Amino acid sequence: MTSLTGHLGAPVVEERVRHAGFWAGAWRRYRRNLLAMYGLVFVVFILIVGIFAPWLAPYSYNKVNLDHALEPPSAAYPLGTDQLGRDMLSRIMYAARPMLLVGFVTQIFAQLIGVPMGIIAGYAGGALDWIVTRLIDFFSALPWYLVVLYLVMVLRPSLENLILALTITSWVGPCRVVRGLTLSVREQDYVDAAQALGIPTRLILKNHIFPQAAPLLLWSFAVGIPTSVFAEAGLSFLGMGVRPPNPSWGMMLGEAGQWWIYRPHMFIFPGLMITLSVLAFQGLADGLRTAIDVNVNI
Amino acid sequence: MSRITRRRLLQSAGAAAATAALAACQPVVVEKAVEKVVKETVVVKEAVEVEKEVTRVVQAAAPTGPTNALGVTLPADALPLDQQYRLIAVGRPGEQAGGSYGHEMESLYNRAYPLGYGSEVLTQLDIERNPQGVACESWSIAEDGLAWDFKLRKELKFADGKPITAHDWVWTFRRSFEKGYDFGWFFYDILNAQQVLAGELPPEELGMEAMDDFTLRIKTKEFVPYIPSLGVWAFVAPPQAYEQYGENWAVNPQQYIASGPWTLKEFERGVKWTFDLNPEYKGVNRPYYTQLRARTLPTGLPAYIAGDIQQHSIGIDTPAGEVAIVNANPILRSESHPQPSLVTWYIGFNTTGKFKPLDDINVRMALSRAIDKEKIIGEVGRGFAYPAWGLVPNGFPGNSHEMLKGREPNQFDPQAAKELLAKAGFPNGQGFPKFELWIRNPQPYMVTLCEAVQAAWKEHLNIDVDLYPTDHQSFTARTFRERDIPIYFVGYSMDFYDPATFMSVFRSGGRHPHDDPAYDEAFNTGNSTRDPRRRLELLSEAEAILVDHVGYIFLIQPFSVALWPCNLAGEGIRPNSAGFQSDTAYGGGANPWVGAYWSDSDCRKRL
Amino acid sequence: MLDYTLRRLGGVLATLVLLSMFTFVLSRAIPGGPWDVGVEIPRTPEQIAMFKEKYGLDKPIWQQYLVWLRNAVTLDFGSPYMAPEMSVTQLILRQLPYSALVGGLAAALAITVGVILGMIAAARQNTWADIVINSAAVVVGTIPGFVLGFVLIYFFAAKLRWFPSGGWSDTGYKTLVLPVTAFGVPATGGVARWTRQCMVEAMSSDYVRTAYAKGVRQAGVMSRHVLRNALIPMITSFLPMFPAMMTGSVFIEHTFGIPGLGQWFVSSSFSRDYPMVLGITIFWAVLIALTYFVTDILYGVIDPRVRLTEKEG
Repeated sequence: MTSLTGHLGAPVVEERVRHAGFWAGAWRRYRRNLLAMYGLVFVVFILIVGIFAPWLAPYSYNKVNLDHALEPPSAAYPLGTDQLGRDMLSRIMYAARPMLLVGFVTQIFAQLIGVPMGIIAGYAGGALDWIVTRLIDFFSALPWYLVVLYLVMVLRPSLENLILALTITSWVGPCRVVRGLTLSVREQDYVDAAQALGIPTRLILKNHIFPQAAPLLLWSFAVGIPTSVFAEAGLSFLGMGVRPPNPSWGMMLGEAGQWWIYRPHMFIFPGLMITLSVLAFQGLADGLRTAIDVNVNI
Repeated sequence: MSRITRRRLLQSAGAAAATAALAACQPVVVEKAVEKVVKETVVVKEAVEVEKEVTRVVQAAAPTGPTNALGVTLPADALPLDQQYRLIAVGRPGEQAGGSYGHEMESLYNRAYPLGYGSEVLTQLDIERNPQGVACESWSIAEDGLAWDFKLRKELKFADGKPITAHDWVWTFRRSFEKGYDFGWFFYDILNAQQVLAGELPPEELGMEAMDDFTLRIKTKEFVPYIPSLGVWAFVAPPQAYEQYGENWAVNPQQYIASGPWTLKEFERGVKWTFDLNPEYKGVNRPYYTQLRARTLPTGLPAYIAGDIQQHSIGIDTPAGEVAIVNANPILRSESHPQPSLVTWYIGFNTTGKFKPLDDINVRMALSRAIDKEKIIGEVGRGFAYPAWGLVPNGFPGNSHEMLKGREPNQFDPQAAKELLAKAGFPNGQGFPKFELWIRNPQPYMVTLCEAVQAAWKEHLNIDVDLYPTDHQSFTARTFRERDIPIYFVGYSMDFYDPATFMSVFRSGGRHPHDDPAYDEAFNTGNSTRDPRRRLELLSEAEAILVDHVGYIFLIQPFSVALWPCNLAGEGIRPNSAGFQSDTAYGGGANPWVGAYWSDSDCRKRL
Repeated sequence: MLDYTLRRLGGVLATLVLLSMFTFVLSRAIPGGPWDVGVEIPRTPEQIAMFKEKYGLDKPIWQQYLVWLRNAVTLDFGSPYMAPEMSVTQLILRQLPYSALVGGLAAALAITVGVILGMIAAARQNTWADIVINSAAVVVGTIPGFVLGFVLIYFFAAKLRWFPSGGWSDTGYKTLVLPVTAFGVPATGGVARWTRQCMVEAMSSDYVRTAYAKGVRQAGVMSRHVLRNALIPMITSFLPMFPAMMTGSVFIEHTFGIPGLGQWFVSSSFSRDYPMVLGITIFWAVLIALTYFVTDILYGVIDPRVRLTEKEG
């Protein structure tokens, strides 16, 4: 993603010249950003925990042990236990999976659907924009609870349906953002010039339009992952989402509502995980963007 | 004795009384000595008869508080009349109260406000939970036990002056059943009620008759002793309101015709409604309060402490920190009043054969015996629930809680459970299908409870079930109507103070997908027994059959602790013989808010 | 301009028709119906038949839809099953002012405070101020509602008695403080972070470097160039917050006792209150389409080169 300098010939030449040292330079720039490094470390950590949870977790995530219910953190249970005596540490580890799986996949789909539609709508205008705007209006106005009820009651609740449900609402956001940016960017002089030169539309989109929008989207993708966690928690009480006893951070946060004064650890730890994840993904996205953008002087 | 000396004496007595009043900061009725100055003209006999004005100090009569619009005089320590209102939360749509219908006999589950404000009720329960007449003054039962005659009070009138007669009662019920009353099943003991509700018989065939203007006869097919208790849910409607105004008169203050102590003053759905005293009321339910005020109210203990709401209840689902706050605060503790348990939550099985092997009693017995109820309920209930050994809750009239504890399904024995399951053909759970367990509109503790059961079945029997919390409508449709859900978790709460309120719902052909002819037989025989003691014995035996056949695993009987401000006073909230107090109606039915008022007390100051 | 508006209007109407058809069919496809609301004993088939006949639910579905459509054109959306004495329109318009007041104030609070904080964070990118604001924004957005609600009511209403804990009646504007705070504060975090991100993006553009090179001071650069260009993605996200928050939140309305519209969004679906579901969906669709339309117009105001029509040239 090279940045444009305003001269049409230059980017192509610059790309070739910089190619050899580009990634090394990018990594150098990335390393200097503290938040980005934290983000990288944390995300890798979460990935490992999520994938290897069955081996890493000290207990099973649904081992009910009523004799040890609602215990504060101790040697045996480093993060305490919940109201059924289940180990919080193990549950938090296992809960990394739905977040990664559902959150990640949902955001990927949301961006894959929303971004191209937004770019096309913004760039082409006219009839195509009209259709996309219609779709945006339609999907934004869907009666959400009705849709979820249908997915739960008529289709069977499953991971696919959950991702479907969350994607339906999520694709609109990136689409609108990208469309707005595109509308603004397409009037820039260099785009006019590119058109005048006869450069095919798809290349214009790829080289000029998309790079302007991409950084912001990268950030919203990353940050949208924990948003999906909250959305999924809201669905779980309807029978959609991750169903008990499978844990998810959002759901654990909700369950802690009954105990939070008495045993604050029950909501602090899942909340902390969500907070740390948001910061991590945000830093990651920020760092990636800064690293790749050669114009930023560090 | 000179007047001066007497006055000084009275003055010092008054001062002493005033000091005593200041010293007492408990909510005790304070007798304030009042000096009343009376001017009289007295003929003084002297050399010449002269009229002189003499002032005498007269001890006034025992002081009382103000008198409200129904002629009720409040005690002396009562707050002024404009502060004698009851604050109630406006119902939300989809909950009980907050719905569409203004009159109780139009719909129970979809009613606009709680029961029995503007309509006169046939009977109500006293604090010992015994029925007493409200619209009626007495009742008698025929020789064969199949007809009850209620003698109505002759002085009762609708707010427009028209007398309330037995004909109005009959008219109300006929109209209600003809229109498919959603609570109609409650009155199925009345002759032909079921057929009239189903449209098989015309409304005139309903077993209610006006013998004369003030005698209402209710006929039954078999003898049941609790007909007067059913009257707690019977309300009269004014026929002239329907004729004059149409369907929606009961939610329109201009059209509302009251028959009870309250009348509708304003109504804005979902926002507020108000009932003021009905000055035309001629009946016996006369509250101290002057107004029922419903607004949207905040919820939670902090709002109660702040004084923004007038009642709060803590139970299983209360955050543990709030319970701790209440326990630690002496004023809040003094405002806490434990309530009896009136509901049982249970797991049910679909034994129709659609879901093999749930129709095998060995399988169900195994599932039941794998659950350690004492431990699980002890942990999940946190002191606000009993483990359920049977259907009728612990402490409820006619319950067999202790006796049923020893029945086989209630004996926690994982080893025996494993053997039963193996005997049924699923050693170590192999080959056992993975069933869904549907939970109806659960509160959080119910999900926790089902998770504990799920874990117990997994641990002891190696069986997997899928938990499925759902909304009320979907649950009712799929579990009770279409009957294609294998296992479910639901509750039932009482409607009147007799074990039949629970047990009759568990007969075959009712809402549950489980038929048990032996139980039906035992229950029906017991229910119709005239001798009260023998009846309870037989019902207890029937309940044992229900438990033994494991069509259901009864799990938990939660109760709550009600809080109300310490300055609430009155004979209506005194403890009954079982030690329970309540600031609302006794066990369902009408709540006219009789017998309680707000006293002038600073007992909450240090809160 | 007029041409565009008319085309847009036509498009919205088309969407509404499609949406109503979709909602109509979807609501009937879910098991259970409005006749079983809140009942303990399921209604008998006869009772259900009576109910269906009363509300026209026994006719074939396409017929029901055409009846509804014909009425909808005259803005008659029927009466909710849960409130038969008034119409859907009346009910919505009656509950709207309450949630609109609370939600509108909360959104205004969130956007005002959030944008300011976000701008500061962007200006001081990668310094401690930035990290603090960022982290605070994330934490604030993650605090569960039950914690925030409890803490606010407990301290400010029960202990300090500065404000009433909620309800809506005779207590005046003080009642609004706590619910608006509880509603607006979590949103502020998201606003701040998005603002920061948009500004950072805008700041890395060439003309910004040019401006600095020319010697323009940071404040001038920020307000004149950066903010302008950051505004487009910012208003894309912020404008819809108004209709979303003004139609209420179930949690806020329940905790603080506000007679708003939020509860109806949830309960009408669960109660299978078909007229209300349709009415509220249409209402929300109109609101959101209007918001998106205004956003598009504003694009043109912010960046005069933006044209909402075909790409020329």
